[in-house]
Amino acid sequence: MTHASNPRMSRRRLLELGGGLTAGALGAGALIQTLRAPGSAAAHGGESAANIPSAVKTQVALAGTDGWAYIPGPGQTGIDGKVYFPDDMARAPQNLYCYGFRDVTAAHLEWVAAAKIDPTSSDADAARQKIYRLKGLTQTSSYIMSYDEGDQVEITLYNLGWAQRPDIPDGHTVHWHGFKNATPWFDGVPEMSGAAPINKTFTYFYDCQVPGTYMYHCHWEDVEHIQLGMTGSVWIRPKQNSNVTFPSAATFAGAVAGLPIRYVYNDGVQPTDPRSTYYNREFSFMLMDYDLQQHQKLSHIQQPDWSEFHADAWTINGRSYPDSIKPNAVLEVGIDLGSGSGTMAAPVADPIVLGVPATSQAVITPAVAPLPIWVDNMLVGTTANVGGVPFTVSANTGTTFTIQGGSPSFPAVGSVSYSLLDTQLAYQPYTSLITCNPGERVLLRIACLGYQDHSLQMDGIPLTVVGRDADWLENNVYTTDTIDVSPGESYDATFIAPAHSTGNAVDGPDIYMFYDRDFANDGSGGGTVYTGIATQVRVYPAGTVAAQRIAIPNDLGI
Amino acid sequence: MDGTPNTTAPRRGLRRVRPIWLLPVAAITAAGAFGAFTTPGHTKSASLTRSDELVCTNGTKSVETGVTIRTFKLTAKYGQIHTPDGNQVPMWGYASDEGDYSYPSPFLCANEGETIKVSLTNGLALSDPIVAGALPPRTSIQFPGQTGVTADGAPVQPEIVTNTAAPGTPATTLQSAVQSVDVGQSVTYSFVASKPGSFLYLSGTNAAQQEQMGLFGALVIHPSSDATGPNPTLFNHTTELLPSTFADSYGREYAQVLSDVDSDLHQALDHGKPYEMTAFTPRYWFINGRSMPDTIAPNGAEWLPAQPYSGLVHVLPLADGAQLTRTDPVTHVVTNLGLPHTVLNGYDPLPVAVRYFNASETAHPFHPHAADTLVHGVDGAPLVANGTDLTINHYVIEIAANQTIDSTWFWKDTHGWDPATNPIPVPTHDFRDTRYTVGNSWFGGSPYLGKQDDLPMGITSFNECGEYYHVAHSHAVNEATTFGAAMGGMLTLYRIDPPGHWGCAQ
Ligand SMILES: [Cu+2]
Ligand SMILES: [Cu+2]
Repeated sequence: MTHASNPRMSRRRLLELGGGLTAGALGAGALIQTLRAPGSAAAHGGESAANIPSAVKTQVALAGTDGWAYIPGPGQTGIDGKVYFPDDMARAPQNLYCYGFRDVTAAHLEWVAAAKIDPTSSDADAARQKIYRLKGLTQTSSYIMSYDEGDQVEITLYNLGWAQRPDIPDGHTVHWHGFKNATPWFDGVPEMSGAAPINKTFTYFYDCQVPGTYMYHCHWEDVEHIQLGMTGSVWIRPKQNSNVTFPSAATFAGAVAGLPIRYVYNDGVQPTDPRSTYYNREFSFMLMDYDLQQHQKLSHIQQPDWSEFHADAWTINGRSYPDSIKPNAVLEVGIDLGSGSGTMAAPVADPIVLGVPATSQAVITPAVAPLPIWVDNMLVGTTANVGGVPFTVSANTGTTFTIQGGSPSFPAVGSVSYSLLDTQLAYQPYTSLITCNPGERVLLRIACLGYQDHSLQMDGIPLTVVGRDADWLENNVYTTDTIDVSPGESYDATFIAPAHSTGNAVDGPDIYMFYDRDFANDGSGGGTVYTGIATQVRVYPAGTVAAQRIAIPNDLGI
Repeated sequence: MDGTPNTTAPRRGLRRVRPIWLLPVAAITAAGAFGAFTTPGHTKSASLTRSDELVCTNGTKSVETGVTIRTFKLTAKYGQIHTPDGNQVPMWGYASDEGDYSYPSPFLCANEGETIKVSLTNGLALSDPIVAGALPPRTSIQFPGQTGVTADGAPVQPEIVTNTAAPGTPATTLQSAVQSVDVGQSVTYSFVASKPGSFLYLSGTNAAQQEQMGLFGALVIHPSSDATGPNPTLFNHTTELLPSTFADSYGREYAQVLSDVDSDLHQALDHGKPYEMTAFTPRYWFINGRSMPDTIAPNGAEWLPAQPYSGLVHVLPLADGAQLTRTDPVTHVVTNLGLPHTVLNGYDPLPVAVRYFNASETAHPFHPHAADTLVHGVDGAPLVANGTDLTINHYVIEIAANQTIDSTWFWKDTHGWDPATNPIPVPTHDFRDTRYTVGNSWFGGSPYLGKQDDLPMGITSFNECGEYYHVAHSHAVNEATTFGAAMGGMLTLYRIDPPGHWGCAQ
């Protein structure tokens, strides 16, 4: 169990905040301190708990803006004879105009801390610049959020404006789709409340009372902002995960011994009960259908007609197959400080980002999980923090960046080599690959914010649906081959990974396809090439896939 | 054709606007119907007489040899509806002898066990028959979900006609799914309302096109145990649901009929021309025959003469110490039960019943915000099996084509925010730093229920007294549009009044 005893200060949340020390060692002041550069007022212990925006709440900051994404597929020409895909205004190597939210939590907290000392300081200005230079560099599908039941979440939404559409003064909102939200103020429907104006923020408060799989999206000019990709998943994990009455590791008959166990809901039954919601691994999937011509109209300052909606591209977590099976976190470089002491032994391939770190060295302080570092933030002079070690980027050649920092007792120096191998997917960071060992129970959190139904099947593996729309199915738990996901619905489906056979000749692990069976909706017509909403389950030999790290959504463990 | 129908509205070069302010007259009149054109701080006289609940057409009740018979007289006829972008669309529908043409056709309400008789007269007419010799079609009524239905005393049967021998013509044609009648003729359908629930009635003749034209309506059958419980329920607790579970008890009763319109099809049929269904492209989406913002206007709004049914769902709050009441499902007479009110954050302990009817050829994923929809029944069948409760919470209810859902919606004041005693723990409304939708808003300036505050100039607020509004809409969001423009179509509001101030009454 990785849940800290204090639900308001779990380790996972510290990681989200950019801290890396263990929860017990961290006071609230240290939380901010870890986000700041050495030499600043904060690093000298000048912070107090009062400087934290709301110490009891999880802080999240999202930035809404536009940008460009990449999907594979043939060119498309409209009845007017004009090519509408790929978009001729796209910034290569992307080819599709999109909107989305990016996670700017770390920079936001830097700004809050600096602004409380002096909002006109260069520190405050630098933090703000980190956020606002992301205008036109959005992420789609957007940041996956996960919290624990009982968490209180404060979301600061920044509206960066459109880079491609300076003519539109659109607001943005965050609608937590499916939440029981009493006041319209936090429901994100602008006609019933308000929205973030360009260059300003709107603050949301969410109380995570009911576990399950939810989603979020912008509700401003909703048909357009959702379709263009302002969509993301939200998971709330139940209190049952920290209830000693229910096993936190597999000990029961038929399970893989020792595997960590979590639950989707407070089901109140033991894992051997057919209604149980236990699982060993979880993966989340956001299904979308794009009308490429409407995307192109918007980048070209034309008015879409939504009664003409006609999807001709489909994505899962923002990517089309085969991009969907590429690894996580294309935007980010992972620096794993490893465990133990001494010099970091090996590069880390996960998360793989704008590049694959080839070598890296750093002085090691307490063992931490790898932290995502935005390549965007690795400009010379940027301050950042890994595992409690603040550092500054001293050089960045375009293929290697070098860091310097730390403290007298823990000097931090190192360099990370990277190559810009996969810039196509630079703004679509989430994998849809499913990796597991035989016998493990895998949870699929499926959500759809497209405008069509999607009929999902997993070849050769039956699916057991344990939850829908953030509600445990209890006596309605059923096993099926087809899950028909309608717009706005969520499904919590599980499967037991089959035994490993000789493995697929190409990749080694056994491969099972997981895809939208409505071939008319996946762009392939059921032909030899899958595209659109399709991905793979890869079953490895026992013990190959490491346990998932809770801070990393869709963590592959390989 | 009378009026100025324009089914090919300009779609290029549209301003980035929504239908609300394309038709300011309707919007302003809507505000008037809410008591007054309001701005915060403005004193208004709230209307206590407006209604948004289910409006039943009750027919005529008689008793013959101990059998209760409920008779409805319907005439299929031409009508015309208005859409929020200023269009008018030619329609067909079943009009009751109790009222004029309406879209959708009237809500027929009956009680379980009664014998239902529906007489249908085909009064269809073409308002603009540009094809020489074109005649209005035959029509009929189907009652899906009912058994033992008769037509003029004979069991209903498909109507198969033999074609005259002509090359390439099939020997027979399925003219109608049930017995149909030509213009000027009448037929009487009859059946026993054997089970409670929500059902559709609709044309069985050239059904895809006649249903699209508006020849459909909803049939609501209230359970026989309705009169015995402390409050109305969707189903019987003696036979269908666990006797101890009264989760389907409700305070107020609402019905939401979902439909769409391809205006080109309507033009063609009114011209007496054929229409190829492969070209079917809906431009309008409706709740109770109206598109947002008309959906929230009260029942019988005078500027929508052929669209009398409100799509607003309105939560009745009770102040602490108030007495529980019971609303009669048919007469809507409210009886004070003299029972103590169990306070739940100062709120009504009863959910509202919402009956959903999909009168279209595609599924609609309907998404009421703010609270789950508890589904108790589908197609009039309660969700219970072998004594096990199978009712289920959804935040999106996917309603298949021509399916019905019996549900309750229970908004709860989950936090009870209060500016003095329980303030919202993050920075809230500062109107100088907030973006609003240009023109119209239902926000009153304060995030607190029952409170209002400043809004910047230029924002027109329809908020009366700090009541809350949440949207409910198709999550195929392209359907929450009016001819392509957002915040229209299949979208409505669910309204929550401050405790003790129904309709913002003082
Ligand atoms: Cu937006
Ligand atoms: Cu939504």
